[in-house]
Amino acid sequence: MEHSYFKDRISAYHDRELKHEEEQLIREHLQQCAECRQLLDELEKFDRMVEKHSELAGGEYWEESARRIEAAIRPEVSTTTEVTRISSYSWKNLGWKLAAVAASVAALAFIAFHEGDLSREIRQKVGLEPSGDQKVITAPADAPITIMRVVPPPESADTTLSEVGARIDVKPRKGVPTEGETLEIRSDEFADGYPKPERVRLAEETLAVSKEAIQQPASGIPKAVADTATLGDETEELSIPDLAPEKEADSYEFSAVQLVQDARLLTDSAAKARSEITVDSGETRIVTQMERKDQELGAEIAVKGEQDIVRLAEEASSLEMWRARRDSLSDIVSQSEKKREEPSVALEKSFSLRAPEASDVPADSELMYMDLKEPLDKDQLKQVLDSVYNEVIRHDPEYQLLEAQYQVALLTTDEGEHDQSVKYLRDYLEREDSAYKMQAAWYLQQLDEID
Amino acid sequence: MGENIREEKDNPAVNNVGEAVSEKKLIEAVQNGDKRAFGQLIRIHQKRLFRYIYGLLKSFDAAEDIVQEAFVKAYDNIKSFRTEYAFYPWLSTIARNLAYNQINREEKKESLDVLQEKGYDPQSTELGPLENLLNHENNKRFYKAVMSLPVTYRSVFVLRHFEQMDYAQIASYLKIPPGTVDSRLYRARKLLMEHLKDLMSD
Repeated sequence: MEHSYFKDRISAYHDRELKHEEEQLIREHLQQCAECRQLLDELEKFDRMVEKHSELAGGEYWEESARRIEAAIRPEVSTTTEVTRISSYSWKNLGWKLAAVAASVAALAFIAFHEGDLSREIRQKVGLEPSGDQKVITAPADAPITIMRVVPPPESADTTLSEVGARIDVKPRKGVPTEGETLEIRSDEFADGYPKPERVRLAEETLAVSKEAIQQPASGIPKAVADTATLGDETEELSIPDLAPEKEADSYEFSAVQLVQDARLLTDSAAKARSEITVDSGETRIVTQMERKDQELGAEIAVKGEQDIVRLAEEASSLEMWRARRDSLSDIVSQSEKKREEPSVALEKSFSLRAPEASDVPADSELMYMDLKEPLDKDQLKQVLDSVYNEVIRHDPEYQLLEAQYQVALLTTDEGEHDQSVKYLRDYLEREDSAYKMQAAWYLQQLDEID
Repeated sequence: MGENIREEKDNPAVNNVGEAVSEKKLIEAVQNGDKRAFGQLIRIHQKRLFRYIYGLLKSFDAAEDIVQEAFVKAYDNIKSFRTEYAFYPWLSTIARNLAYNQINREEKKESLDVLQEKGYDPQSTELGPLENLLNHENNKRFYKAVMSLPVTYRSVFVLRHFEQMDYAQIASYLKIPPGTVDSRLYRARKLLMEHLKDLMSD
């Protein structure tokens, strides 16, 4: 076997990512090859170097950062100490209500930020400009607003701000000058039968006006605010606004984005709350739709971005490596094919039905060991199976050889070599004892060699 | 408001066993309504989380925001967290999803030019505000070298060396074949070893 093959595998050997046959081969090779031994030694030094030099300093910065985060989870403005436990209320339509609240706040704040854009008439109507003896409410023009908390009301089916009864404390975000007034909407105290305070009335009017304004996108109100306002019960996510390209509005773009994101957080908590209910009713798993969405989105992006990058980065330099790997794996596979009757050790071990124990897990692994006091739910099971699957195929030379053949076919400019690899994959697909036919078929499909 | 565990135990032991035990207690305290206990969790994990997200995104501001958002989200969902698991992997999954969202958002909205201005420029090795968090010249050199890696190598390197993931985990997170993790990591290491040879002398 080629020295270059071994050299490529030392890194994985160093990480203890090789098993069985291959690790044994490397170990034997190391005894004979000073160059590979030196590489292994350097890899160990490299690990220590990374550990030493990746340390971040700056104690003060981290303390400040921690305080900032604490402030974000714990509004300092309010004197009320406890966020009301939401589960004691009726949850029917809550998501929708929260969305409505979010919408009105977003609209209100948007108007506050863009007061210059709005006609005097509207401004008078919503109370941003004095008319007669009306009280003036303004947010500091440069202060983006964070919705700090929502306290849901006793149940109520209607949608106006006061009847939803949300109280929203608003305070400037980090890094923004704190002078100026804190905008506060308190309606909970007036939820049932109490007189509506002026401010709540104004907020409701604002909502009405902004809904009207949303009908005319030309006025510069972001479309997403409209989306926010029309959220239905099933809608989980608010879109990020396509802001109207008005010059005066530029500096406020971020604020509007932030608001819509905050509104999104609100619906997020609604989703979470729903899932809490599910748990109460005896079901086991809590995965909110938001979480699932996050995961799907993350996966999607990872695939999209990585595919392109992989192609570009790998093409140039890895053909040689894949060739070497193909050749050496061919040896291993053809050897092990002779003793096919025995099931693969790796397979047997990985799929045994014995419950895993702590000792099965490497000491430095944080992730995969679960003490199975309770049955795994669907997602956990999938995670475990995925990792087992990866574990198995990763160490199966038969699988690795498929990948090598595919990569060679993909990268080579030599038509003969390409055809040879494709032929291997085709033959593999035809053989009865092939374990990874799906994979081979997928590779062929990627190579456009299959109908 | 639940009972306050920090009252009895203000300085949790820092040894490994104690850490695991006190972290579990901290989380239970948070679940019972003790917000200050969450402050401790923040102080324990924020550096590592920041380093991770910075490594992925290569943007100080974005990493700062995402770390904050991740903690807020974790706090909001703390009741659904089961204390028999380690806290950090859960937290870092939240943060990673937020980071992916961030990338997606930026890509949709902006052209590549704007991404460069915003500090996602794959060419630039300027560390910006991160410089202030690095005491030694050698640490600066280290981060500059890491940040000069192409993103495809950098992400594999960060997941392996900062997050201690194994190849299978990296493969499934990045949706790449396991063999590719192997070869990219090897090349990332080779590149870094060339640049930082003198730091490895011990």
